[in-house]
Parts: sequence; C-alpha cells; structure tokens
Amino acid sequence: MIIDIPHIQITEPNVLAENRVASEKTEPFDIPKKEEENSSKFTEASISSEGKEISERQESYLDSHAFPNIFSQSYISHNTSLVARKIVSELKKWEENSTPDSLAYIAEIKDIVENYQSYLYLKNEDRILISLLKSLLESNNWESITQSSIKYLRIEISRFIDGDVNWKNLETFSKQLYRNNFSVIGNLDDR
Amino acid sequence: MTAKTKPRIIIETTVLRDKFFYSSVADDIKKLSVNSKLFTSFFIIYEFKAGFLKGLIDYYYLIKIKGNIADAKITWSNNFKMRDIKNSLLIEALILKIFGKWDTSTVETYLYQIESAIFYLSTNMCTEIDEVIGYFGDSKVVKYDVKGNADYKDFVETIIKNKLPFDKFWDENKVVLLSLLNGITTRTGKNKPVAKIYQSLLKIQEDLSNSMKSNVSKSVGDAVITVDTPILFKVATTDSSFDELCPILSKEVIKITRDHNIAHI
Repeated sequence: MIIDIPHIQITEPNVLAENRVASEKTEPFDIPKKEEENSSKFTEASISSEGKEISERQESYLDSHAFPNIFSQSYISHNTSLVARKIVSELKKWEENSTPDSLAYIAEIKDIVENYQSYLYLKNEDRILISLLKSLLESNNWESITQSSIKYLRIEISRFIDGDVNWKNLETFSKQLYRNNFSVIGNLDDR
Repeated sequence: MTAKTKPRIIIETTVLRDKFFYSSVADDIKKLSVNSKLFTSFFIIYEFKAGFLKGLIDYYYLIKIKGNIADAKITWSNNFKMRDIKNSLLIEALILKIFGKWDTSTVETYLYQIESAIFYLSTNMCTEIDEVIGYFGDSKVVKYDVKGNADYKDFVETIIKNKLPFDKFWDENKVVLLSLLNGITTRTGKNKPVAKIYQSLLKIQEDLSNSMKSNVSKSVGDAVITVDTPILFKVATTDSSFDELCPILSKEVIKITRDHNIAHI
C-alpha cells in the first residue's frame, strides 16, 4: 500500500529493506514531481520562503511521526538537497553581511540541520553527512571564524546541492573540513 | 650536483591519533610536511584501526547493547586494560565531548554522532601522509575501509580472524631482534614500557611462535615500528619508548609534544 500525502511518500515497512538496498546502488537523482516542476524556482532568493513552507509542513508531520523510517530514496535526496541549499544560502548571506552579530546565521543553520535531521538519518551516507554537520556546528568557535573559512564551508557544502550523497563526495567533504581546520570532534587543548 | 632529498619521516601511531585531539600536534605535522616527506607504515595503520577505531566501535556497540548511555559508560570505564589506557582515555574524552554537547534524549541520535566521529577519524587518518610503506601491506585490516555502521560487525570480525604474521616478520628480522635485545638497557621494572618490550622480545627470541600470542604482540608494537622503519628515516612520536629503541638501530626520533615544541633528540 502506498499512501500519498503532499511531498511525503509512505511505503509499507516491508518495502523499506528493498528501498535501502536500492539506495546503495547508483540511482538517478529523482526529485518528487511537484518539486521537479518547480525546481527552477530553487534560486537562492526563493529558498527561504519556499523552504519555510515545506519545512513547516514537514515539521508538523514529524511531530506526529517521530523517527519515521519510511521515506523513499528520492525523498531523502530531495531533503538533503534542500538542507544543502538552505545552508549555502545562509553562508552566502553571512559572507556578504558579516557583522559582529553574525552568529544569527549560524543559529539559523543549526535550526535548518535540526529541522531536517530526521529525514537524513535514514540513509547511511546522508546520516553521516547530517551528523558531521551537527558536530561541525557544535565543535567550532564561530565567534572568531574568518570570512574565507565561511566561503570554504559554503563551497564544500555546495557539493551536496543536487541531493546526491555518496561515500566519495562524503570522504572528500570530511577531508576538506579537516584540511581547512574545521573541527568535527573538538580538541582537548583546554582540558 | 645532486638535488638534496627531503628528510623522510615516519608518523607514528600516537601522532596519527593525537593530531585529532591536540591542535599543537596537528600544527606540528603541518610544519613537518613543509620541508619533509611524510610516511606512515601499514603496521601503524593497523594499530590505529585495530586499536583506536575498534575501541570506538566497541563503545558504540556497548551503548546499543545497554540501551542507555550511563550504563554503557560505567561498563566501558571498568573494561579497559592498562595497555589500552591511552586509547581509552582519548575515546572517553571524545565521547564526553559528544555526550556533553548533544541531545541524548534518544540513544539513536547519540550513536549517529559516534558514527560520524568514526567516519571522520577513518577518512582523515592519513590526510597529510605522502606514502605508506613497510611490512604487513597485505593485511585485510589495513585495507579495510570503515565507512558507516553497516561495516562495523564485519570490520571487528576481520580484526579477530586476521592476525598479523608477526612470526614471519621476526623471522625475517632475527638479526635486528638480537641488536634490539643487546641494545636495550632498561631491562627491568614492572611498569616501564621499554622493560615490558624487552621481556616480550626475549620471549620471541626464545620461540618465534610466541610473537603470535596476543599479550606478546600487543606489547612489542613500538619495537615493530622501530624495526619496520627504513634506515635514514626519522620517527615522529609522542611516545617515550622510542627514545631508547630508535638509537639502537641508528634511527632518529622527532619528539612531538602537546605544547607546540618539536624536540629532536
């Protein structure tokens, strides 16, 4: 049985294993039809309002379905893409409007990650991506981050904008974070 | 006129691990990489994976089995042995950092954080290394690429089922083994690391098959690294046992400390 509710495809639990196996194979990026029609709208300017609307609907769904493990591969990819676009958009705004109270941007990014994490926990690679992002946000001294670092981070997260997270681009992302002195596990210097 | 070759440095297990936890160690590796060629050995990668990464995976499983973080932490702290103390302390510190910062209302979320830390450590273990050399290149553990939690069970089984061929290694290095035994001056003392290494090397000399025993092989890791390091290479380490072992085989030590001083002995 497949139940269609706006933007959320729910399959029976016994279909899940099949979906997971399929997700590990190369699968063409397939965003849900409604988003496909509007995909050209996903400019940085429109991400904010459109994303907010989608986010509100998803949050309300999530409120009543804690840790659902029933989303399709394409739906997870769609959400990964949305997270990456939103974060990139915030980082770009941060780069352009850097002020002493720029922490508002990082707070916004934390919200984005928190709001979308449940979707991304369902696929191995996406789960590690969202967990890396969470750790990244907690482990760095954002009060003293340079604009060039913000730019680096924006470029690195952009690699996931098409929603395709695989081991290769995830490894590159992890290495680039390390090379650019972003901490994911924190260090013990102050202990 | 011949071009001057860059100094060649082996990055030892403690440095490979501590770079993730101490910015001074990470900075020192970066400084060394400017004018030197950085190496590590297959055995050092084995130690990192079978020691440190496996320790984290064990902790991951403990939480899964116990179902709550508090019980897992108690079991974990009662679990580690003296020889694993450095790894255990760093894993504890890492876990505390994650534990202290993250929403632990669900065990699942907490496990994901550990999973991402394991991925990060695994992918960046050799980020600054130019080349991996030495014995044990055929080890399945060395070749194993640990990604997500789907790999953990198989990875742990691979470690258990695939012991390194230490007997062959020492058989091919009998003369060097004798040099080490003759050169070590710290031969007694219950808790002195080099004295422990000496006693274990003696057992190996008596019978090469002793090298395959777990308690022996785990206590001679620093000796294996010293022997496995090519002549004219330097060993960058935070471990004091190399101060005594390396000079015996005419190898130089670069001592890396956690306070930004690279000390050459």
